[in-house]
Amino acid sequence: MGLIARTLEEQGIPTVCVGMSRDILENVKPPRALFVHFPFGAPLGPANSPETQTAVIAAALSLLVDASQPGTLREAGIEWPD
Amino acid sequence: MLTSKLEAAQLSIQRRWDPHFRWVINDAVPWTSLAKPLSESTLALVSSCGLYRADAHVPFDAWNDLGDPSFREIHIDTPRDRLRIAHTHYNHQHLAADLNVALPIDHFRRLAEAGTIGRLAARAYSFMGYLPEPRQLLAESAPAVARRMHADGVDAAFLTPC
Repeated sequence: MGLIARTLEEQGIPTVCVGMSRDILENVKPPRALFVHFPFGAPLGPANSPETQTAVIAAALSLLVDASQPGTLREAGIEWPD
Repeated sequence: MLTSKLEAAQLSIQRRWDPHFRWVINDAVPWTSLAKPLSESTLALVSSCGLYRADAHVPFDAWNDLGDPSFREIHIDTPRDRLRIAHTHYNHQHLAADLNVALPIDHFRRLAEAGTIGRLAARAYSFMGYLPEPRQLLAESAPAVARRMHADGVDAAFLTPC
């Protein structure tokens, strides 16, 4: 996903990328990445948990607006709900 | 520098699927600034969860050890029961039950209605994220998506992996 983000950005489209592997994000270096402690298959949180999903989206959109450094990696700090 | 976890994953992928696989390690980072306030921006959704439209697309070649670098265009009005997943490298449980887990069309529609974003682009884009050999993705598929986004007046893209 980070590779697609980088290509879009090279072509003039700002991007924000969610990611579940901090290691991969640190190596691929998308322009703006939001790290979530979620399992693969659920980047925005569990099914039918709109509160978690919208919280991740809001954090990602804040990153899109705030980030000024290429390669900004921010931790979402949003917990997987019980 | 790869962490020991990524090094182990690299070896495992090399042994099981693609002997030439190497993690991409980038140094420089491309950058385009957001040109407008978010409330005036058109956002497009991109996901690499292997979603495709059963009545209009060939599924991704999810059983290919070398991956599939192509993409599918998914209109945001596509009836949900037409969407399927072709991806063999993650648990489909959450996404199969709720599209908004990775392609948050409903949430972005509400953000547009609320004026938080300007508009949700009608075309979303789907990739299949297991791709040990990304050359064709970088040279063809991702630039093709960028051209379509420019044609639609997209100001920023929101990307989710699986």
